[in-house]
Amino acid sequence: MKSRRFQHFLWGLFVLLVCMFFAGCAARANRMIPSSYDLKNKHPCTVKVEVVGGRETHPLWTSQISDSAFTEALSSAIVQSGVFVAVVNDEKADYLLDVTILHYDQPVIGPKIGMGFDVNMVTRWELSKAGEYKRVWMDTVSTTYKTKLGEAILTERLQKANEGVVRTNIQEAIRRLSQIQL
Amino acid sequence: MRAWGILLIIISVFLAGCAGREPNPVSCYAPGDEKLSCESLKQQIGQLQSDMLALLPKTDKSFTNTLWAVGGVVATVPYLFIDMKDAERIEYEAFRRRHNRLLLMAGEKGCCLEGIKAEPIPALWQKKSEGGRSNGETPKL
Repeated sequence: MKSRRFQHFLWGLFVLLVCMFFAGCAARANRMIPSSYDLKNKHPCTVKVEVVGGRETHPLWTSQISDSAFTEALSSAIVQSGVFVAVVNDEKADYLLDVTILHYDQPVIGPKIGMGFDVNMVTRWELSKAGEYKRVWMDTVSTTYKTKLGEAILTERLQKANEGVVRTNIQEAIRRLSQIQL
Repeated sequence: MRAWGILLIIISVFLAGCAGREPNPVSCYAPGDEKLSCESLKQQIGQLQSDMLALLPKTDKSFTNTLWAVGGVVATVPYLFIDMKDAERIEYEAFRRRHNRLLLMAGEKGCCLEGIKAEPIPALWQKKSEGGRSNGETPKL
């Protein structure tokens, strides 16, 4: 009788561990904003930002990067860096900046067993002048974020890695955006 | 028996990221877009609308993914079937972005878009927050 109870307890513990292994929290926008920028030019224009390609975090699966979190982080980064004067939400903006998340890694094993691992992200950036419907600049930004050993535990590691890779991606894209002449 | 179970769990965990296909989102603009005639714009907008309509039923996988995830807690293997790549939703959103941009372009050119729905399509998350569609209803853009 006692051993049967113990078996049930072990089974419950196993289910709980499986849930903990996979569950994740969404990457937070405020942690995706770079702290420093390398700018060549600042553009005295407004911009409208639109991001596609992100995914919502499912409570029973790993941490993801959503379109809204990426948009929020990018908008803040643009304003903070000063690469554009302001981010506006209507078509009256001078430029339209369209970002497509083409790929980002979702390692399962590395983050869970505490190893250091790399997270890669590839994004496509398209800048067009509003009203002209012609691309003035397009680039593909590929960045890698290396997580350190012992940076965080279990589910939080992937969340931090996601935030880190978006941060480096935005930082690099802003650097490239500042190099163009508008 | 126990060894097989452990092996199955290990394989499942390794393959978990393989579910679903990689998305292939279209670009916002194609070369020569600014030179498109009204007829070509109308044709492209109509094509994008039918592409989106075909993708729309496959964009929400939360129900099936939840089922697989719950099943996965008990038997692990169903975890393999969770589609977290969301290819259809991402492609739909990219189509929508291009559609809305072409629509703006057509509007500024003063094109007549009779015969097709000439309204910007909101993002899927915006649609959800507006209440979504009820069960049994034909999918609408």
